[in-house]
Amino acid sequence: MKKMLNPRKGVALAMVMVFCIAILGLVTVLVFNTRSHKGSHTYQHDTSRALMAATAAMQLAIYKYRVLPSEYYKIHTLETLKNKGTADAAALNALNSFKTAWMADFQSDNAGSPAAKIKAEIDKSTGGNHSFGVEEFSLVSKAAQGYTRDYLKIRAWGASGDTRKVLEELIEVRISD
Amino acid sequence: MPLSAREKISPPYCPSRRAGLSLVEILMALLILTIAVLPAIGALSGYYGVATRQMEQEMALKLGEAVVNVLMTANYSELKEGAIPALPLNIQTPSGSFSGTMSFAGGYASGTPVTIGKTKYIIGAEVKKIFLAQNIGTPHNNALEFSWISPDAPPPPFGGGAAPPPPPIATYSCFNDLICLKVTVDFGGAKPIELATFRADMAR
Repeated sequence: MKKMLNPRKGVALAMVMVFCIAILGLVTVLVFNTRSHKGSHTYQHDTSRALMAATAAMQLAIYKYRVLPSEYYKIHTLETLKNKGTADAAALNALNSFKTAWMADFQSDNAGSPAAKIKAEIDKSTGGNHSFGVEEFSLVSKAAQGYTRDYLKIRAWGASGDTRKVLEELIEVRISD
Repeated sequence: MPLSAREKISPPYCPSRRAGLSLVEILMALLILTIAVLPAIGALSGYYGVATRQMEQEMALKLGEAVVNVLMTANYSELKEGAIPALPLNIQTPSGSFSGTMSFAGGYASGTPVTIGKTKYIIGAEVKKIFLAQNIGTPHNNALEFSWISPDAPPPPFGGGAAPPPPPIATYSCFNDLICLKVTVDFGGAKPIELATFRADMAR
């Protein structure tokens, strides 16, 4: 009877238990946050590597354009005809074949391609697993008063792990008359 | 002995009745709090360590990218020949700034120390000629070769079906090297940051 009349008995323990639960909650949040931070380490590293791979794809595209400029202009001429609507079936077939062959060298997944050789070198140098390619390679012209400028528009992508990055550049070229 | 009316209705305020219980409670509370706080301190310490490491790694990656960008804009001929002069490095970050140079010996730059905040980053760079220029007279196996296909599509096979893709009619290789740029940043982490890319000659 006397025990039941003591209203404050056990209050300290109850409060400590509440504090403990709060602290354990804090620990749980911290542990999960730390785990997600460890994931973002990998993400940052992969992002930089993906950008480097995309840069390599971009440079490879420029390199090939320097080797085979006239071959690329064949594609460009056929594409211009197609856009004007004056290309016949044979021209369209030739355009598809040329374009497929032109772009195949830039994809690191194509075994034996120049891109695959570059990928192997980058993987060997950094110990990572990269892949890259070129999504778009086109020639765009900008005409203004008194001048016309031509640019190569290259959109390249690079990937490392689960991260994929895309780079797009306009590179000024001078086409000899 | 019968209790008085006051003793019956008043709560036990007498300190002597609660003293022993309070001591036990406090001791138990301290024990439980210690058990709960110790992992919290460990977790806080781990969290701080991870956050610091992440900041350092992010800085190391940015430094690596900055050095790659410097090498991408450096003179191509000097890079190719391994005659690179000391490259200026001017880095400004919220944690601190660095102004200095990166000295090359041949195609290598090793151990350029950059201190930002309290962390010391050791930057190394390497310029390698992996894919070499090739002339018709001096063929070799280290050239990148591109193929070109016949403009005339082969005829469709007898009996119908799609025409096969045209076979390559020639291979071409470049008259310039494609050089590999590799940058390493060591910041005391478990593994240094390693970035690599390639560079073509953009001058012409």
